Amino acid sequence: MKEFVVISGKGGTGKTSIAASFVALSGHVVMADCDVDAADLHILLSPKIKHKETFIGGGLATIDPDLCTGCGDCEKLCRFDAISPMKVAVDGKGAIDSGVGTGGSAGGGEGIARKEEKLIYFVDKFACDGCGVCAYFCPANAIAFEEQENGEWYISETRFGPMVHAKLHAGAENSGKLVTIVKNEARKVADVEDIGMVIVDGSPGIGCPVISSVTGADLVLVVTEPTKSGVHDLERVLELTRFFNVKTMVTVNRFDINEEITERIEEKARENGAVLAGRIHYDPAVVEAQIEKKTVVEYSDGTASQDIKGIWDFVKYQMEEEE
Amino acid sequence: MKLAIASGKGGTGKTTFAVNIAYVSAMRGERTRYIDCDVEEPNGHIFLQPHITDSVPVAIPIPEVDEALCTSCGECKRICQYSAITMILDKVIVFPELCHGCGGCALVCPTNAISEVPREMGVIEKGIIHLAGSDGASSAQSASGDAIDDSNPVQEQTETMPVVDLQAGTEKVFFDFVQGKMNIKESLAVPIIRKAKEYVLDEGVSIVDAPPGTSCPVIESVRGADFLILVTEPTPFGFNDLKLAVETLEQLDIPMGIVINRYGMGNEEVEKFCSERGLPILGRFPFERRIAEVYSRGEILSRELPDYREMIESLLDDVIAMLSRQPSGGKRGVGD
Repeated sequence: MKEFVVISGKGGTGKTSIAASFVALSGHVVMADCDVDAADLHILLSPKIKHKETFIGGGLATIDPDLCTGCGDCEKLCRFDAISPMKVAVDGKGAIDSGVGTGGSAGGGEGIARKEEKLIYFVDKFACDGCGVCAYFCPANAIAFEEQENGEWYISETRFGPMVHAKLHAGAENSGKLVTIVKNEARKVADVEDIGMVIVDGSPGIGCPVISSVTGADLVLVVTEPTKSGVHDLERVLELTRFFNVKTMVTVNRFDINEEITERIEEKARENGAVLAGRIHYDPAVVEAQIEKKTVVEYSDGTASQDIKGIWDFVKYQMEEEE
Repeated sequence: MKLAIASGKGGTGKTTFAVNIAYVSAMRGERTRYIDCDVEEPNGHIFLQPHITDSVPVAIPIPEVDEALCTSCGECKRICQYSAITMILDKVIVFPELCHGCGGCALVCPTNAISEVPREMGVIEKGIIHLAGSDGASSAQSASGDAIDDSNPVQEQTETMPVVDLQAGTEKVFFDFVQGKMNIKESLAVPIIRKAKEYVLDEGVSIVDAPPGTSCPVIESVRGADFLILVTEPTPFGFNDLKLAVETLEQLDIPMGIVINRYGMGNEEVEKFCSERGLPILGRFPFERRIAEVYSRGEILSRELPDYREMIESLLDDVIAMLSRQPSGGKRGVGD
């Protein structure tokens, strides 16, 4: 079974529209949407969910305000600036007077006499990296450290075959781990259903989700655009695929916006050992197809559609050459 | 004023707006700093052409095991949440690229066999931005050599700019530049973003250019901002990613506004969503080929296109006005 990954370095170059078109053209593949923190492929492929599982990501520390003695050890140990002190009002028995926040909003708990204030610490869940060190060393055992449900992943059916995709919860961590799950599950589906290829829609950038997408791929297609930013980002992404020793192809989308830069990009790609996969015209049909919830090759037979078909034939040829 | 620019979907024009808002702010004489937190693919430098004056490596501490002291108790492996430590035949093996540098292993080791050594993951580059007149648009870049207009005479001028004098105050520095850049093959952007954020100004205007997406690197970039601008485009993909970004970033409790870029392409979903959610639309920037071309050449739109500059000016005014109306949001004097 072959794994073909579409990535871009720079965002917004048309990666997902092109990957979805490949799925439509292929007839028989498993689709994996690995752009887990801004997944868009489902818009074009309208998957029907057959199987759903929760994704358990990293841990999160939470401090029990009633048990916290305010010693501050956790704040000193935390390398991620996720722990800060705050003053709370307590009643006579030392229990937190609920409804009273930090200093500044004094006099919140009217009715109950405010005897004294207590210093406690709290965790900023957005800054917490999930290392668990504070919980391990808290002398009062006031810190709970629990695995978090960070998202969901799905096995679905589309009009072109099976699709594995995921949704990371708002602001959750560990997208690289979720990408690995999506890819592995897609491979399993391909095995079970005896499908010869997995097409992966990767994420922008060069960080953890991209590394997870590229790992183990047979062929990578980088979709770029003819802008100075595109040139810069392509260089970084090609350095990455070279390091992973994956056969890499490059296509310039909307090449007619700036043909001079397109030529520079193609030269850069060749210098870096990438194979040129061809150019794609700027074509408003790409966005029109999106609105119709279709891939551009289904929606139109215009320039972009023709160009993508040509690239797909070339991709198939390159994959066979890999045998 | 700390202004963060984010987008959800990549390629919607986030960097364009960050650069142009910073440029317009500096042209008004405000002390302005542009901070690129898109550390995987930082692109602001392409447009702003900073003269890089300083480069500081970013490292995180990772464990180094002294085998003579190690008793193979396995405590370090147990505390590590990142699978960065494993034991093979009683020997501790560290995977540096998985380590987040929390320090737990060194703390927990009963025989003090673990010390921490720095591991470089990226760099923070600082520089000064020279605001040449409108004819100095595309001064070539000094270091990275990816200048396309090689023949531009402004190159020399930029490179021989009296940096020392500038810093000494002969001429007041009012527009500068900070970017985080992650080394290739690294996977953790957050430590570099955290470092870049240390350069946010206490006074004046800081423009933070966030990475795309909705996960941890975006949160880290946006955290602590006074106002957040989300840049989107009126397409189904743009709309879907905008919803995700709003859902994520509204948890941070930062006032936000939306910029619709490439207005006129696509459909009305983004507009409808914004009015339903009461999200102010700060601007609608038309989709025009001349804009795409100026952008593709790596030029600053508001320097090249006066009508574009006017739109950025009014966007910035709107943000300042909205911040001054915030009851407690504006922690510091806006736009001082």
